[in-house]
Amino acid sequence: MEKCITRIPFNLDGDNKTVKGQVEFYTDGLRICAGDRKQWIPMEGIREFQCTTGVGSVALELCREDGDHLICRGTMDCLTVFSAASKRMNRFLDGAAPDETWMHYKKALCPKCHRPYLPDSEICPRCTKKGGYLRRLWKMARSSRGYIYLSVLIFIAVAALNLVLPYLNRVLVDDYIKAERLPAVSQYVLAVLMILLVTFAVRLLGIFRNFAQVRAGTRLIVTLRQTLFQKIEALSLSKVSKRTAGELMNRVTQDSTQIQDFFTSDVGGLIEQILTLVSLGIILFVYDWRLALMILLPAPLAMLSHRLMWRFLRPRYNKQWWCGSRLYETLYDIFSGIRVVKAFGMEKREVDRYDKVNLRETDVRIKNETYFAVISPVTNFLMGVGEFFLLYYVGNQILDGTMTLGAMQQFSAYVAMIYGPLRWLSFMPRRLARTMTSIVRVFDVLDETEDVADSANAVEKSIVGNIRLENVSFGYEDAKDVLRKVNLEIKPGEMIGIVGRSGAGKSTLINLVMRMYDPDDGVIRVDGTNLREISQQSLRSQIGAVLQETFLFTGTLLQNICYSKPDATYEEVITAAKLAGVHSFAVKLPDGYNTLVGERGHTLSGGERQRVAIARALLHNPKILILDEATASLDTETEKDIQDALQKLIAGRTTIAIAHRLSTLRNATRLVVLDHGRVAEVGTHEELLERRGLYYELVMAQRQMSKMPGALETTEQPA
Amino acid sequence: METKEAVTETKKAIQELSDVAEIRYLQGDNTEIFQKNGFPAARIRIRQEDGSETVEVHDRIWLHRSFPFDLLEAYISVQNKDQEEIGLIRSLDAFDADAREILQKELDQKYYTPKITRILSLKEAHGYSFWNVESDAGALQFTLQDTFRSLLRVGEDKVYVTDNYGNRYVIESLAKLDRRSLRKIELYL
Repeated sequence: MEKCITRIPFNLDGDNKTVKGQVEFYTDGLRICAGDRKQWIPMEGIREFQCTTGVGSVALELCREDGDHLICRGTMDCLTVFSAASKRMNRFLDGAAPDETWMHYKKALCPKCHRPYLPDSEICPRCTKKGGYLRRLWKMARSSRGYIYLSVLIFIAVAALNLVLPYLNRVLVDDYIKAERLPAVSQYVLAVLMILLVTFAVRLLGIFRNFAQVRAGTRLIVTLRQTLFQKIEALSLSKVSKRTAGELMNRVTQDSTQIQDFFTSDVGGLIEQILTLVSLGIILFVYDWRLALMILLPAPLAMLSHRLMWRFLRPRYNKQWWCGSRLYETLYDIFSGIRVVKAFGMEKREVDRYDKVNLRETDVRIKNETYFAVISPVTNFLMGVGEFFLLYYVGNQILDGTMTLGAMQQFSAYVAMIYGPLRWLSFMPRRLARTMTSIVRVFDVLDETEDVADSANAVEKSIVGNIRLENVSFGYEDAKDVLRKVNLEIKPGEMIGIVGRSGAGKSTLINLVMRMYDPDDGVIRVDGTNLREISQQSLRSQIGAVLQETFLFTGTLLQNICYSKPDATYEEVITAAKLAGVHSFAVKLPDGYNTLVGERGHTLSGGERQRVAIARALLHNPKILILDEATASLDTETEKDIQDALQKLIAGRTTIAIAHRLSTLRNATRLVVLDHGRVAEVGTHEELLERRGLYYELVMAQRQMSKMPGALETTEQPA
Repeated sequence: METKEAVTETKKAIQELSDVAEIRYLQGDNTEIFQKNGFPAARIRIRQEDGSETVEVHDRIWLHRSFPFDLLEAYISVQNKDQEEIGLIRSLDAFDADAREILQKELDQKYYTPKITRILSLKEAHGYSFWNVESDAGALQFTLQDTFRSLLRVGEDKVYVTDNYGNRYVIESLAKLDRRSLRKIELYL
């Protein structure tokens, strides 16, 4: 037996029985162990490994001359590991050398608590150490620290003043209103003024506090968003595209807002509430410990009842919210499809459908309101039960003459004050958890390694245009390999057409040449230099790309053409525009090159957009040109015009073009036919036709389509 | 009289829809199901227009339920490696016991769906819900990411659960579930 390449666990057998099994892959075969089953399959004769995904289970299989054979099965938990293993083993069959990393697989569950990681990450929201993150966040808040300190100070001051107020009230009542001998009017007025002053100070401080909070918050959020955005822009396409645009937007906007809210209001609030609670406790204990106990003892009970109430109500409100959104969805659905409803005469059925959802929502709502109406007075009563004890105790003391009326007023106020913070604090764990999740999510992006990073000795290089792919293999994120052992040499100035069925790996090949990704195996060289050793800035500045979906940023026509070369002169822009055929329509627009285009501006037709893209690439004056279905979405006539424009662009440059419509590639020096990630055929149009292989089939299929009467439109516009 | 004719005419045209659709139904008298390397395989006899017969052999077939929630043993699409349909099985009953067993086993494997018999605990935190259940495959623990959307009610009584990995579970009958379990899941139905 030779070296172990990789090892995977599995958990189902052929009869759907749960088992604990393991497959070990060696260089000369694989060993399968599960309970009593022990099996050795020699590597010889194995052509390919494949991962077959069912609906509730997944299987790892091997293909030999005599057909497919099952290696092992598992529940969907095993999917990522199975597919990664089959990918690695296929690469091994292709001759790649396995290394240490092949032994390891990404985990989907936190090994500590067996809960799922946050989506697209390897962070457990429960188990990650949060202290480190907080410290880093605090570092990031450098510029707003002054304001954070200030707002905390003000919070403390407000808490202190709030404590003084009941004391002043007591003085007013005991020393002046209920005094045995009438006090001087001036003293009385002074006391009232004091109360006024304190109240005023509290309000004033409130204003300052808001000011400090807003300042601290905005500074923090600006820093946070800037750092996040810079990081995302620096990441490679593979790291960025594993998260959806929506999710990235969430992290930049919502998560950072959550963090901001927490730092600006919750931290200060927390300090204020705790301070109030502690100082109230001390005051009460110092004055009369029995009184204090009487007030504080029911507090845990009240907090507990409060928590229990919400634990009971929250899922019920969740359900109500869900029913509400279902109601909204149903309504939206019916209104958007009103033509279909009318066309099939289904009004009655839709009314019934809506009634059903509506009734359900009402049902849940009524139930919830009833629960709330019954439960909340009970908890509120429990919250206030301390006050009843106080009344009884204090009343006795007043009757005994050991306590004054003013003191009673003071303590009543304190009791009322003590339950506010308790209620506030009982919500704190939830808020804290939500913020921690946001913080963890933000740092997840910030800590992402830049996988397509420039190497330390990356060079600026002036490109001539020779491209060589040597044994290049590549697959996206644990899926099947898209390219397998691709070898290709492109000479300077050559135009290479890449053809093949969809999913054959055409776009991937182009992405690799543009270094959107690095190949998993093999090397790509430009003029003999490994792509990894050329600085990305220098590489991209010499590659121009015209893609199928032309994206125009919101801005003027001029800005969009200049995107590739912001310092271009007006004359350069006009030259490029003229060559690309933009000039002719640009000068007809009332605002000329200053016409606003993009999302909200002037709508350009598909052909016009494409011309702008070509102008963009022309202005750039690239050494290597990439055309990815550049004319696929255009009608035949426009395509011809664009083709002429492209021809000017192509002349003398190394060009790689992808097209479904084979006629588009008639000027190509050579054609490369890709099939299932491998290079199937290379040659000129005539050579490949003579060979009667895959290319011949593709050409014949397209000819047949165009011969069919009325089918011309569909052939010319493939999906 | 004229209208009657027109009606029969239309009826004829509609009946022919199924001919136009060119669905090839596979059943015991035109298809032989056998096993190769543990996978199901098929030998299909096709009658040509001139009356002769040709035989099509598929060394491995893939089965796909057309209505995975409603009909578990009917309208099963038989496909080749490229997911092209070879034929459609109206009902497993159209085959003899041996063939049925092969097909049933393949379906059971592909659509592995443990039946939940009891819910021991159901907790919610951070937008996830954590389930601890008893099933015909033993004690199971799994996690749902969006609880409401992960539960699919089929009819009044049956509920399909899809966890965050894509595993499927089924509660065959809510009515037969014990009260404690029912109370736990009720909030999400």
